[in-house]
Amino acid sequence: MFAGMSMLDLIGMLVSFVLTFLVLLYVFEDNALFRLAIYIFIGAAAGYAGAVAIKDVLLPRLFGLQYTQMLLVILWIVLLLMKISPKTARIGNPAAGLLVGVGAAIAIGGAIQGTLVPQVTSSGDIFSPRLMQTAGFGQTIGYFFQGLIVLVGTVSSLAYFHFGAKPAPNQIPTRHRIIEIISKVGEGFIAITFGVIFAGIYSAALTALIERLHFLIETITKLFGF
Amino acid sequence: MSSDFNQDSENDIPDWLRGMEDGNDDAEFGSGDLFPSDSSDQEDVPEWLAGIRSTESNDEPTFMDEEVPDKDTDEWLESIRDKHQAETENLKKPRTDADDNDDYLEKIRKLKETEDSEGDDDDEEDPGWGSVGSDEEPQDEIAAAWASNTGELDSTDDDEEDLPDWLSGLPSLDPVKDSPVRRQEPAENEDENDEWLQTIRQQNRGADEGLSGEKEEETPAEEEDDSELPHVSPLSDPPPDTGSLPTWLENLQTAGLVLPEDLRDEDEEIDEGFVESFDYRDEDVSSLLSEADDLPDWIGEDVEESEEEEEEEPDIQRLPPSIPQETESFTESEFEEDDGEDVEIEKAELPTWLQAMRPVEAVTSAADLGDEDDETTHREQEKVGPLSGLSDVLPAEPHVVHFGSQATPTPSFTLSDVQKRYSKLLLSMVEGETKSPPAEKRSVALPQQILRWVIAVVLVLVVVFVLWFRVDLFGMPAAGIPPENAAVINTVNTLTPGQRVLVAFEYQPALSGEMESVSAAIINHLLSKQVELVLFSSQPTGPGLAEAFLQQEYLVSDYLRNHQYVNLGYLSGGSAALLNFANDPRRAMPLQDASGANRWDQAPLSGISTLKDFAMVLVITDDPDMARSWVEQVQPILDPSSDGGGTPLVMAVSAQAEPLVYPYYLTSPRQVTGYVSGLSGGAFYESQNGVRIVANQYWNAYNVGLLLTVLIIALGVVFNLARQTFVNTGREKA
Amino acid sequence: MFRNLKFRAPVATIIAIASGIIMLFTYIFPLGGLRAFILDIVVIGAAAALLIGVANLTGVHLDKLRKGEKPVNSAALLIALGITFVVTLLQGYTNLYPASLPGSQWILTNIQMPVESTLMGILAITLTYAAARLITQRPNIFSVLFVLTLLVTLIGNTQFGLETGLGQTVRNFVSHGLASAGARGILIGVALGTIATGLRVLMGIDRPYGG
Repeated sequence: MFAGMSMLDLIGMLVSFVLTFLVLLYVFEDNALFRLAIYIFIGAAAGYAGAVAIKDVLLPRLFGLQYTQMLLVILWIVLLLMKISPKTARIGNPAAGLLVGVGAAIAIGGAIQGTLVPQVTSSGDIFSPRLMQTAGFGQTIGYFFQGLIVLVGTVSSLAYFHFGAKPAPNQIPTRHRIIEIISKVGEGFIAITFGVIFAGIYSAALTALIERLHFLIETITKLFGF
Repeated sequence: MSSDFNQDSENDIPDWLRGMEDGNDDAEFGSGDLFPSDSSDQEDVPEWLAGIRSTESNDEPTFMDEEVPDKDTDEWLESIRDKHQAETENLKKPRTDADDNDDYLEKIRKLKETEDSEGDDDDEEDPGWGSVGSDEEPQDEIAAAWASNTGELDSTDDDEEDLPDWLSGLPSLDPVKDSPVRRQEPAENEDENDEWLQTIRQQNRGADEGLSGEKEEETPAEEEDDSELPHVSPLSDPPPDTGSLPTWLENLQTAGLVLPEDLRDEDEEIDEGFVESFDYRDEDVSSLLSEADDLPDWIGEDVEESEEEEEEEPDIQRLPPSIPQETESFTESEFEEDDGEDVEIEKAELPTWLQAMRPVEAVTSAADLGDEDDETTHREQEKVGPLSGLSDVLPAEPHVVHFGSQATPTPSFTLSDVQKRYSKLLLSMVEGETKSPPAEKRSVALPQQILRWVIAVVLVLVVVFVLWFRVDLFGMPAAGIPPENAAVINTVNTLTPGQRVLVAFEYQPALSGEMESVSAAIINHLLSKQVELVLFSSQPTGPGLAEAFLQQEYLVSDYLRNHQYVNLGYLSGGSAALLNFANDPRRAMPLQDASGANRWDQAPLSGISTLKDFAMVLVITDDPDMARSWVEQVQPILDPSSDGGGTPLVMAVSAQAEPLVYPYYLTSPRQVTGYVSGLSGGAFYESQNGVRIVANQYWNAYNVGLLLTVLIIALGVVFNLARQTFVNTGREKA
Repeated sequence: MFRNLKFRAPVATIIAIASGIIMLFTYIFPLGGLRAFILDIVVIGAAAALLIGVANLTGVHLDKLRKGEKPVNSAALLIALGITFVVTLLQGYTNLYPASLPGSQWILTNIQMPVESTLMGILAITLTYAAARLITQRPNIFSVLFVLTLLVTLIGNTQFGLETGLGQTVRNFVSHGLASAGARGILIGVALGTIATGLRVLMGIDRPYGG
């Protein structure tokens, strides 16, 4: 029955089985056993993440440094750790500021060179004459309409997120009429996009459910030899 | 002063000034009479003022009198100027300490002589004010300097004789003379000390009796409206001196205002030495300011009552040090009281609202009285500053300089029930702001709960049925593989044995089931190509998930069983970590083997300096943001050109991330060479490779579940639309 | 613009702005060494920030335990946290931890993964229920469009859809056509928002670090 499984694996399997069952009870109602399972999970996840951060990031970097550099690194870590307590949080502001400043710069650089330029460029690529030269008339028309749809969809989706409006006395601020029309078109594209994303999320969730149910069946099969 | 006077015409000059111009001694400054003695004016002048005038008229002329003013106003002004200048020159003369001391001592001697000449007819308990005439020098240099500076304030003998009675009867302004230190004189000076006080008493009594007749003896204070005086009632039981009482309270006590009886320990005895120097037991302080006959009825009654309630040995009361004293004018006869009778000053009653506002500090300090037998004084002497040596002065240093936060005194308010309720309510409101409200249990309507249960049961039962019985309704997808999936297959097919492939495990444990089903076929394909796998993650759980995935049973490979792959581990920092790793993976992920040697110099990592040195980068992620970060931070460094050069970036993504990854696939050159998304993509990949791993196990259940979901959603939409239509129709009909 | 600048915490603000500007310069100029140095610092700081989060979680539940609020759950959390933390560190740096005892991998595989996966599986039931009631909640054209797209996409992902060509049509027209246009707009919008937010931080207008 348990051939090839060590005692540790067996215990682990049982623990997984119990926890999976406890969490599945949430479908019917929130209960104390479900909450207990969740608290155990949160504790394990937090402890694991903290230990991995120390093991894989902090300690290897400290051991490979010179004495002076190590002191500086320790000082840097201590400054950040000051953010734990509200009383000493202000001491850690410069350290947090460096993190935020560098993170902002990295985000700006990546957004410009990784997303903004390529995506804007590719939105008009479909109208490239070179592409239409190599294709036939039908294909060209197809490319043209496809490109038009993509272009209209992209622009109208951006317009949907435009929230600038002129305030009017005793009236709710409204956008310009042209912007309003374009944003309505964009709202349609957004709804379609979100529908596809929703389908993807559901597919992922269904796959997870199938995997868990499969595990339960496998465990029962192994335990009871079905 | 004088230079600013305008020379008016005779008609415009006021009478009092005109009188000065006419050379009338009474009307001019030079005569020493500050006020015109014109008969007409004299009628309008109050009696006390007239008394001053008459008194001063007998005095020797002051420095202003030396010159007889001319008719010309400028001349008398000049005379004043000259006098002032002369005085200024005198003041500017450097005075030596010896001179100061000599002057000071001289004055004291003179005062003492005059006191002795007036005789001792005072009580035993004389205040320490009388100790002015002692020959003691100031106890410290600072006091001496203070004394020297105020030396000129001392009235000379001549001045004393010229001073009016009311002025001469008051204590001198000499602080040295008035020093509390000096009050603690030995008993032998007590008699001398009491003279001036007796003089005051007698003076007041005499003045009251002869108020109408002796105008010159009347003091301005006595002529004032009695109703304007503070309520001063003689203390029947003056509070004991505590030394720790604040000065303002002691002043109140002295003025006859309260301490409540509970704050006073009547049984406590006061330090005798201190008592002796401040013994006013027989003094009726209120008589200094008024007499019962002059007081309005409501004050006079208290005075009379307090007089009747005098104890034999009343406690100490102390005059404020601000009252100047002049002992020479005091005679014992003036202060004589009825023998053996102690004037009791009735305690004033504080209103309740004032009692409630009484600071705790004052109450506790008043209650904290010294031991009866304790002869040491509770008073603190000032040790710094010009007031050094004096006691009972406001401390400059100890109480001003506070270290740390001072405890806020809490006044003891008397609250009514309504106020208490309001205060509790306010307190609860304020405390409630900081507390987070408990999470409310969301209640769902029963039909909705039942619907959810039904959906759950149906879906689970159907899936379990398909999995349990391994129902094979749907074969693996064969045709219509998406081009992005095909791109991945083609990319992997281009790999050669021994090449290094970086595999990034960037998904969460929640979607480990789907991601394993998506990437299992790719990993299996890579293993079939005999490439070297290098694992990396920017998620804390990534390395563990990688280990768990690669050790699955369906990945049959000795390579994996023997752990021949390299797991670089976890790198924190998100986008910064990716950029750091992409720029210099050796520096970003230092790695040593068991012997401490650099793992990067060993196979399969040897020769790797940047990510471009990898043959392929496979990112397994469930998060579209993580996919975007890899594209933004890492892909520019991989630099795949349009002709297929560079290092391809391939992704295995969750179905939920696919819509946001596809635009990166559409760019030219492609930022993402290819990707496999969702279980369907995994199924396509397995089908194309002719393997059945994970996706195959779940494919039938997945299809059944999807179809069932579509059915449930469709039924739910139709049902709700119909219900809404019927409801609206019913409402319209109604 | 300068009116909105606040100089309440100049040190932290100056450091944030200076480090960000230096980092941007490394994109333009060949300052690879400086970039690597800054990124090393950030990596260490990010690990410390993660530890701060763990410490805060520990402190909150210790406080709950002390106050007696849900002591059983908090105790279970703290015990699980402590055991996992110690076991993971011991396994990583010492050979003293016996292999027969559950290690960090065991905890991850048998506790963390099952719970998270099951929670995700429950989501499928919840999403089904929510989608079925969506039209009732928001009866407008965009909700209808949303639900229709959902249904079509789900069908297109099934074997039925793939075999009948519906899947390919749906994929080409819906997923890779209309939806990709909307997704591209979303990506560009996200990039613009990221740039705007980053510039606000580098200009000192926003100070999320407590300045």
